[in-house]
Amino acid sequence: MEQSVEDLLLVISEQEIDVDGAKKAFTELYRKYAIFLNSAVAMHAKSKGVYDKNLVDNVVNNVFFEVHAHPLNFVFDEERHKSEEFAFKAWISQIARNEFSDLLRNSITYSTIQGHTIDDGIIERFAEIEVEEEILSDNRKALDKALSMLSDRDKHILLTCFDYYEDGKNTPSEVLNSLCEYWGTTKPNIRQVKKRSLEKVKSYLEKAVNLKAIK
Amino acid sequence: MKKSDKNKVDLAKAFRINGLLLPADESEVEAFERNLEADSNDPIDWNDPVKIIARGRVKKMSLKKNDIDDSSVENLSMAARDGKNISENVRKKMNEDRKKPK
Repeated sequence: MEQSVEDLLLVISEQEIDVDGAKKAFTELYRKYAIFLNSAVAMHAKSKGVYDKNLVDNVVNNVFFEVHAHPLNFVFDEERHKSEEFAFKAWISQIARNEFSDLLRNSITYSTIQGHTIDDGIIERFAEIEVEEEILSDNRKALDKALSMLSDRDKHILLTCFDYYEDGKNTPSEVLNSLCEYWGTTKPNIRQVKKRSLEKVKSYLEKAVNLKAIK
Repeated sequence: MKKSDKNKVDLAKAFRINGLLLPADESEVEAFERNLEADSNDPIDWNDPVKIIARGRVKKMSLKKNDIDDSSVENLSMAARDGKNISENVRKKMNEDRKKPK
């Protein structure tokens, strides 16, 4: 009988008692979910223009190492989640996202990050841009085309800001500072690039796909 | 909530469910998988995943800027100004600001 994700994670958590059992459970979990994660990470890296095979391998390695190190951090709540499989995939995607965040931070020097803060309101909120879900949810091509109008650098800046977007909140200052360092520029420049990129994307989506952007 | 409000989703979500960004929750994973393109490469250590445990965390990683020339501050500043050149006055002011103690 197939074991649930929680069962496998429980066996992994008991690695000190049953080493072989834990390795077997880890292997089973990996074979079940690594293809999803590998593909998701590769797509994510490609869309941001930072793809390379080693990077994908390393992120997948670190995510599953984290799963192995802290197996009980995943909790499936039947009332909150509707599928254990999707809930677990969302969890490992979140860990991968954190890996990319660390990567961005670690790809730069910290010399100017310390002490930086961003005033509320400096960076406009993404919630201003909304689109019709039923049209856009299955329209990857439209989004790809809209993004293809941007330079790789602008696309990276825009998608990174979106990556850490939370409804009603400004882009985290840590992310902005990382982008400034990564691209060797200033917050006002990042802000301008982001704003202009967003306008281009929005304009394309309005015209080409006949979407109605809601302000 | 009006019906029209229910049908709105922000662009960040659209990027996530279309596979351009990693999904953030269960419902996004479900939509995301419809757009997921299987990577042609096998995941690392597919034949022996236990190697991941032995290897531990890979710390030496860096984000490469694919196909992007090293962008100088000047270039990015110009991009931010929509390709316009910087005026002498602004340049002078910037140079003065740079010299100010922080």
